[in-house]
Amino acid sequence: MNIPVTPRRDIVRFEGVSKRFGDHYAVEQVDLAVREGEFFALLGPSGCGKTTLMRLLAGFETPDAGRILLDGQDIAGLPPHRRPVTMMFQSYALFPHLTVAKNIAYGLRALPRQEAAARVDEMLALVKLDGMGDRKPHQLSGGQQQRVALARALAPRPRILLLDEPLAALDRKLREETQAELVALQRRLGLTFVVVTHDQDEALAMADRLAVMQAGRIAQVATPREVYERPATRAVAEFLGEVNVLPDGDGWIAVRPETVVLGAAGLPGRIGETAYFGDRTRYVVETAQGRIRASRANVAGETPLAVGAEVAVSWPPGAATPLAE
Amino acid sequence: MRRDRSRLAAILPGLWLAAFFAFPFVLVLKLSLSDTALSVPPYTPQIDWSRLNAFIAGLDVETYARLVADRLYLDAWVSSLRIAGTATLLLLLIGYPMAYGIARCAPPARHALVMAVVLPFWTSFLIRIYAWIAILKPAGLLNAALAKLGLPAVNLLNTEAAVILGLVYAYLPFMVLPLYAVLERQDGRLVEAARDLGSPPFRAFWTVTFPLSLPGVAAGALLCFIPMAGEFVVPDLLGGSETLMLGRVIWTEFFANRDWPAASAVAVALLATLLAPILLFERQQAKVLR
Repeated sequence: MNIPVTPRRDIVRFEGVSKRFGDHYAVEQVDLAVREGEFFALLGPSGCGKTTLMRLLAGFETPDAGRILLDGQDIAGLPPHRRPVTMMFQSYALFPHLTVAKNIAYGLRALPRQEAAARVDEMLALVKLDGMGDRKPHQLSGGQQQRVALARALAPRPRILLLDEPLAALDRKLREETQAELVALQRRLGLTFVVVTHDQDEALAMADRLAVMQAGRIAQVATPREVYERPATRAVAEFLGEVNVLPDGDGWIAVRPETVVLGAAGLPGRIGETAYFGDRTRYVVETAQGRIRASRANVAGETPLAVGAEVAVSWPPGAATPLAE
Repeated sequence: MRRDRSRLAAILPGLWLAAFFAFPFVLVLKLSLSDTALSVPPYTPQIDWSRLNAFIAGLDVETYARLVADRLYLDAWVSSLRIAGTATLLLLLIGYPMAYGIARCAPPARHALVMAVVLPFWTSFLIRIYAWIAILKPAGLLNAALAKLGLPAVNLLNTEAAVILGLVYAYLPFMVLPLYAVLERQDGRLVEAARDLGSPPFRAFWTVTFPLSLPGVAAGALLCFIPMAGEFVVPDLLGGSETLMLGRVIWTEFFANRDWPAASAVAVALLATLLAPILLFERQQAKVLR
């Protein structure tokens, strides 16, 4: 499903943004553009600065250097309550003393009462919580609380919705459902979503484009497919899934295990380890160039290779990506 | 085994309450129903197990009738509640910002500040109240400071204002600590969420931080109001003869007038008045725990 993304104008631009805590740079010299209406993910390991970048956009932190432009206006000096940006917190941060309806209405103070009430009903319907408006947050399940948090953040009709690890607190099954629902909702509303996550599968599955962050800097910004298949740096390649990093002349190349062909022609080797995963089998092949990992789909009628078997390792010409260090 | 132990754990506080609250209270209640007499002890009837009927017949509510009839007691009751109420309000106004400020501090400074709140307990309460006499007396530190600034002297000692000042000073830790406990526990993300949804700082405080701190407000207010309403030392040392508080009335009846039944009846009346807020507090705590 590769719907070509029509080029859209930038809604947010970070220009040379840095943020320091003490003498540690949480975010350093970041240039980044998010386009209007896209589902954008900030991906990276914990402590990489992705949360700080999001908090800079929400207004909870002010940059030490650089500019943050929203619709072309510098918003670095605007406090959070004056920014048309709302956030869904990882812990949801629902107000425990207010009902679901009042939580959702919290950001609607500027609206006349009737209009606000109508908006609350609309939001409850949007997240399929009709009739739950009178409950208190503690009377809801985790998944329902997550949807209240979403409805509350969407109610003021922000220009951008920030989602901080939106699925982290949900169990596995609910996470997959919710992931699909979030994407569908984003498509339907046409709203710009910026999601922060440390989970590569989540980012790859949901985002139109994503930024991989490493140690306070942006390592690569591209579509999920590009980031996975054409990682810019060794760190990006290693963060996203499994990868073989092999020497190639003066530099290094990345080869994904699933592109490695175990056949008759190529680099000779011997199967060192196998691991059966149901739908695929993973192999470690000992070669003169080191251990190379391969992953093969299990096809009916085909016998998996055994430890000690002699094989030749190769990959198609397009599968190897040269890496910048 | 475990069940026995948990039952024991429930019995111990019960025994404690029975020994040190219920039993003395029954004695006081019985005393309040007795009549004064020129004897040792100065009241009748005494408990005589062989003539229980006569003993019970000797009890009456005459003392309570006196309490209602004499304006002095009613005035003392009203002014006790007024003074304790005013002091509680002032304590909230002073204690809340203090607790809020401490809770917002980074940990090392925060712990030092909590220590500072508790520190006065290391000096005798009586000495600290005596120190206020030295500050407030006509030729005391306060007037010396005012004179230095070229301001007219004030005469605070032996006034109701001095009593309220002393109460606020003495009870401040009891207000700050429960408020601090509630505010420190509060999730900072909630205020961030309020800010994010368009509330400027003050509105975020008023709609989120404050309502969520109400259990602390109730705990602090009751922890201060209840003992202050029966306080004896502060009004005795800092108040004038016109500052009537029930604690002093009880003392006077007991030691000066040797009217033990009247002192007991006043004590029972005070307890009955304070029972209402205590029960309210209990219900509120139960609600929080649920």
